[in-house]
Amino acid sequence: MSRRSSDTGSKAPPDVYVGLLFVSVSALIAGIILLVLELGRYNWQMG
Amino acid sequence: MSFLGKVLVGLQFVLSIVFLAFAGAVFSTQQNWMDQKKKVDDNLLAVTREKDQLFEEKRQLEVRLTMELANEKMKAAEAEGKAATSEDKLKVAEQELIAAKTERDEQRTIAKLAVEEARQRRDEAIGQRAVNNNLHVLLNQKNEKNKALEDIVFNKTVEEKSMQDKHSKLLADYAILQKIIAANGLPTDPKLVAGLQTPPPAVEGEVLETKRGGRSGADLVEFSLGSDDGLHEGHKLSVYRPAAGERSAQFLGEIKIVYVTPDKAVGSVVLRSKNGIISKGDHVTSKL
Repeated sequence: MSRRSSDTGSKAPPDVYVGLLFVSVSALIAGIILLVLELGRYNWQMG
Repeated sequence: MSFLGKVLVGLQFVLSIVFLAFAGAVFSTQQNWMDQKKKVDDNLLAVTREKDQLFEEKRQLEVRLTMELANEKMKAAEAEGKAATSEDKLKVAEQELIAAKTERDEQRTIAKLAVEEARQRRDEAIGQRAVNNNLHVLLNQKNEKNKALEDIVFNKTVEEKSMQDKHSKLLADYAILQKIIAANGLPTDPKLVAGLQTPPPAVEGEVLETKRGGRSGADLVEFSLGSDDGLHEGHKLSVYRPAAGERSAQFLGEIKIVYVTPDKAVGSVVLRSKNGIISKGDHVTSKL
């Protein structure tokens, strides 16, 4: 059915799972930024 | 979307939220251990420097204290020496003080005795002064009396000289009178003369013994009176017989003393009364 939908070329309306994915990507980006900032405190020295 | 896709989407969502939460927690609460290490290193360095500095100060302090200790020991030794010297001096001074106190007590005792002696001497001087004044007064009186006596002696000397002249004259007159008396046959015995010239004292005695004389001699009467009673040869006494019972007193006669002893005398009857016979026990008196 989904193939058919895509096959039809009509855009399916974003459902709740798209929203969840969007929120997940946003959370990952924010977490990465926070960790980068934390690593910047140590001058990027890992050892 | 299949069911598995939905599950995975949901799981991814949950895990991403968890990841975000852990990242936020790490960023917000995690300490910076590097800064902490740096601070600790700095503190360690400062503490090490301070320790080194303190060690240096300690060493310098030890050196200074050692020197001061040596100096103090020297001072202590010197002070001990001075203390020993001072103690010796103190002992000597104490002995001198004891000797001085003893001498002071002796001097005080001597001074008290001297004061007492001076007081006694003063009292004695006052007494002697009074005695001296009295003696001066007495001396003046004696001098005046001596002058008076000298005057008297002078007068007596003059009088003696006059008396000697008179005596010489009287001796010459006496020699002439003796020649005249001898030429006239008069008695020269002073007792006879005294009995003739002076009356007998008022005496009364008792006839001790009688002796009748011969035809030409007078009767002799011994009685209990003598020269101790003031009688002399030549005195005349009366003889009487005292009253006895109905008999009245009777005048027997008068006798003249011819011999006198200190307690007895003998008289011769010069006047005899009529019928008057003198016998032992009759009375002799000069009061009639």
